[in-house]
Amino acid sequence: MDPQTTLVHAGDRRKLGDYIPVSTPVYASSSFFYDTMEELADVFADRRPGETYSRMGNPSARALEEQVSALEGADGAFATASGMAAVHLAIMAGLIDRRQSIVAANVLYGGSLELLRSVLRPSRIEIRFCDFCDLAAVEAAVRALRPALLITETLSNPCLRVADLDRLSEIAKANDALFLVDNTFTPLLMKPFEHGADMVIHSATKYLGGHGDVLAGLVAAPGGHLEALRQTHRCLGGNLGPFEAFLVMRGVKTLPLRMRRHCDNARKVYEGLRGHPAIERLLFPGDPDHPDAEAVRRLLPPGQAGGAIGIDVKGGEEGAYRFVDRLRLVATSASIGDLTTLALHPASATHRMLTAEARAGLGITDGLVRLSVGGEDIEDILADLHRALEAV
Amino acid sequence: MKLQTLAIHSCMEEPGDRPFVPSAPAVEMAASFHYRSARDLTAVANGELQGFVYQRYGNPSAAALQRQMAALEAGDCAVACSSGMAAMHMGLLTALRHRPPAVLAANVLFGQTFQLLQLMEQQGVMTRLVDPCDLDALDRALGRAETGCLLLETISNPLLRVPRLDRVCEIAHRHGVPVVVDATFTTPGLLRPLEAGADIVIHSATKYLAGHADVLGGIAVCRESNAEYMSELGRHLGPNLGPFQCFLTTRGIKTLPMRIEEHCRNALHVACILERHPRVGTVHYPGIDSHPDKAVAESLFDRDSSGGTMYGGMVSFEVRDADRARTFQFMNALRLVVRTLSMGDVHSLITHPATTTHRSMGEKRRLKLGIHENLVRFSVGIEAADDIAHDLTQALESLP
Repeated sequence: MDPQTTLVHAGDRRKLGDYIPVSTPVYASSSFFYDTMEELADVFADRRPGETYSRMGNPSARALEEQVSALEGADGAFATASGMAAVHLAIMAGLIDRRQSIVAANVLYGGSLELLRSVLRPSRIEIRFCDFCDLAAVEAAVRALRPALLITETLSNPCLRVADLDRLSEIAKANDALFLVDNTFTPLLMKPFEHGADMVIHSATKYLGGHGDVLAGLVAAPGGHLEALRQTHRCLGGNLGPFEAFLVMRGVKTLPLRMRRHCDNARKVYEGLRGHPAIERLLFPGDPDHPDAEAVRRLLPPGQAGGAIGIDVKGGEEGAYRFVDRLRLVATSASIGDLTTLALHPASATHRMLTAEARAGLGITDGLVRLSVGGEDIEDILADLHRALEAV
Repeated sequence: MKLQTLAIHSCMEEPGDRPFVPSAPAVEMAASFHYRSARDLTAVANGELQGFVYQRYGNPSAAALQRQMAALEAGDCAVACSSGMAAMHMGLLTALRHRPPAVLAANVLFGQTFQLLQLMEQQGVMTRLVDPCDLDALDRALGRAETGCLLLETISNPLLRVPRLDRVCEIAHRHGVPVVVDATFTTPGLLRPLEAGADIVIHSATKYLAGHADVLGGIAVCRESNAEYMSELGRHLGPNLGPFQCFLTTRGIKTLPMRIEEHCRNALHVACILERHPRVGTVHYPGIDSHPDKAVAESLFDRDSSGGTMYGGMVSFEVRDADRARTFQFMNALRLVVRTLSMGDVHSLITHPATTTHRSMGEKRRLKLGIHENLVRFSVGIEAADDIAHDLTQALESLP
């Protein structure tokens, strides 16, 4: 079935009594009970399916989990309170009874870098960061460390390099490491499980929810990892609330339409701004001269290179601020993936904790503005961008 | 201000320049906050300007709940979490910061807490157990090996022992060990652990705080010294409580002190009736004379608004000479009381620890601790006391 069909149906229409709600209700109930104690004890002992307590599972969350599982082609998924809770859950489940060590891409989202550096490393987990676009460096790091996990994002943030999932998963498999892929930037566009991923992570706050009104995350996985994820999720308790699950699910139903529009609009922004005198360079995976063009052709559908674009304006930080502050339609925000077009100056926001040299090493120049292209009419977006660029 | 007043008022922020104040905190759904100027966003992110950036870093709905709980617990900082377990994890990580990776835990705890401690063993955090009601044993255990933090519950689950929290904290601090207290069973309505000397207080807000069986949530409260790190952990690990849940919990807490009084009155009434009932074996309730910690409870817990002693809203008891089947038979015969997990709800509910909350610890340990197959844990609701008692007695008497 086409995902556009699957995603408006998956997870919904569970029978409730003698009728079937068309959309899944918000189950605010903290706990569940049965006519008899025998039934509850059977559910607890996994002898029959059912709900017991919302931390163990909640029907609203389960409906979303089923939907996202269908989206990613997984056997199951776990909904979490935020994308970071999903990253944390995937890592802690992946580390169980394995070497406490991780090789991570050095360009992960700032929150993930902080989790690895400030929380996990002090918890006696060995972490090594390396440039995941340099496969020889990844291979050397993996051979040296023998990590339990490799973790990367499909598109790097904010420079939009494309991780070669096929090669990276080969390196992981050859060294008995699990391959964790954060697919937040490219839902529907990339299918990490088809390229060897062991777990797929989403910040559902972004494209899945898509409306800027919910904080949520998910981890999807094949059958072999579900029990470890389930047990870990129960202990860490990073559950998604039922209201939030409902909203994310509602968002995912329009994901195929929105992603198509985000991708089309981003491509048109790229085409419309190419060669603009106020712009130093544009970072866009759809650029035919993109350093990862070969991986883009292999991993992304034709013409759909995601909804994000990096605009490196002339004049450094001053130029970037002038550009961003002149935007009227486009909002300044730390998030991405909303219907609203959003701009962010990474050097002073998401990556402000890094030194200037560290930023330069990652390609984050002072003039770089990350644009999450929304679903508005492209003419209005372009008009706003052009007007603001005049200030640079 | 007194507790009931704080419960009603402390969630609201100062009106500032606004000519109005909303009568309830907002359910703020925004995932992120948009700024006119990039400099302002950076200034807020750096803490130089007041504001919100991104829901995970802080948002108005969570801020209202956190203000309210910090005030009720006499703490400096509260972090709202997606569940009590998430709050427990954050509390333990905070207490263990720059400390030896070793937890000294009470030998009786909520079952899932033991599983969390087991999960933390993966990163080398080792757990030893001690009976926190035996102060000499506690002192010896703290002296015997390096301890990162002490973990206990204010009233143990499910046997309702009440450790002498002030003394426990005193002994732990003498050894330089921070104390993490799960106060889910008592709530600030009975006891503020920070006042008794504890360092970090954990709540499953799912229970008495929210109180209406419609929220899964947790809260960790600490003093200034741990505030920055605990808030940072909340941002990094991201187990946020959603805005609807924050709102519902805040709303629930407004009636917490009056609900707790009613829970306690009803529980004492029920415990006294159960104690005299021929079909009931041991009754565990700190308010009855046979309970070993009655005096401790009286010295630690607040009095209610009419001066009566409060002993908590939980009663555990054994169905006399019953095996699991007969115990289930009794539970199945209840008409008003709900057979489920959880506790602290407005309605009365009953739990069978051996097959649910304490299933995972295994039969051997259960029996050693006294969690038998005929033990039930009863969360006494705020219905009329006679109706609750009547349902229990009719179910007991229906047994063949």
